[in-house]
Amino acid sequence: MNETAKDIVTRNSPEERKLIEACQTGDQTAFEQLYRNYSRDVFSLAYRLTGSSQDAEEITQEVFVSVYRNLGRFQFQSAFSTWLYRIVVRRAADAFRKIKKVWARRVPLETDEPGGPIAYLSDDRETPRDAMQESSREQQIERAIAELGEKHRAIIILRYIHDMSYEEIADILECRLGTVKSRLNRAHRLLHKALMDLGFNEKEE
Amino acid sequence: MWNWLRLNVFEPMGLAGDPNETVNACRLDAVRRTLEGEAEADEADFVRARIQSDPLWRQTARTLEAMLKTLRGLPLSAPSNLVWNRVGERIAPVGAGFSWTAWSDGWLLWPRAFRLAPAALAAFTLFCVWWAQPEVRPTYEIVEITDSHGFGAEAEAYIAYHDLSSESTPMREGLIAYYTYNWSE
Repeated sequence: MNETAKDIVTRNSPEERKLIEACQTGDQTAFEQLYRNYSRDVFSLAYRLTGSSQDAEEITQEVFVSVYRNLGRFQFQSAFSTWLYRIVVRRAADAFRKIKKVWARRVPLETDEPGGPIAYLSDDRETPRDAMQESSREQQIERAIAELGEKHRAIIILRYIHDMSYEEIADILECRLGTVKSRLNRAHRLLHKALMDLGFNEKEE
Repeated sequence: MWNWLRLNVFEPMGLAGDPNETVNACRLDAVRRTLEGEAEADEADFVRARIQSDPLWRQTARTLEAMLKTLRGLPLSAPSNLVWNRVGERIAPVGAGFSWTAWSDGWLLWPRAFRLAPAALAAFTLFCVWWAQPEVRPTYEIVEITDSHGFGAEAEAYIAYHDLSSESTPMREGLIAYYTYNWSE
């Protein structure tokens, strides 16, 4: 499994704190290190939330500029990763709304095409017909995640790919713990159904 | 007990609104909770027993296990180097001093704005009260001009409501004389 930023924070919390404090004094070398530690997490989260690498790069850029400008206000009252991910989710939600507006102009609202805007407007995805033929389990999971709604997708990604606890997810999405748990249950059912539709095979290939 | 009732009495129950749905929502939730160690002891025992005895439950458990394993193993990708270059360009001139915050970063400033709102409201109210006082309204050069030219009440009334301070002296006197004469008519 990949080493995520959360692992780095958990294992090296005092170093991480020092790094953030150095960034708060305007140390650009420290900020570059902070970028190196977190850019993969930020980009991957943004990519999976928006479904477009171009949007994800733009969000990553905006997030780190925003972090640089506002890091002085970070008081260590929550984990840095939680604070950071909250910014990413907000930015991705803005981008997602823009994509939906474009999508709404391009097709009638009553369309029942699976996947919605994400599956078609993203620059690096294939058509659903091609997706049905994808055999790799990872690809099938990615496809099934992309077919989830915005809120369910965010919960699945934060919980399993970024290994966040329920409490951290509630903090990031700014909702109650009970809401997180009920949404996660619903997201699992939808993900399971989407995977069955894609012919997900539980046996190793 | 509730979980036992839910799993036995209400089963099979598919996704809402679709009784023919093959996915059993309760079974899926129970198996997932058990696999992730979130289920209570009695529920976990019940689920394990069902997995042993029921092929449908076994299949659900296998699928979920594979799904969770794949999910947790999905790779993280790095952004292109261009992203850091662009970030570097944008933060370079800022330094540690004051910088304008983009409007889209405004949500971070909202708590401060809310704290300042009562002070801003109080300042605005004080300004309105001050402005409502008649003696603070501009009266321009009433005394000086009326005294020196003797135009009387008409000139005073005209000058009180017209700012002639930017006019040259001949123009100002001409305007006063013209309007005073016309009003007198």
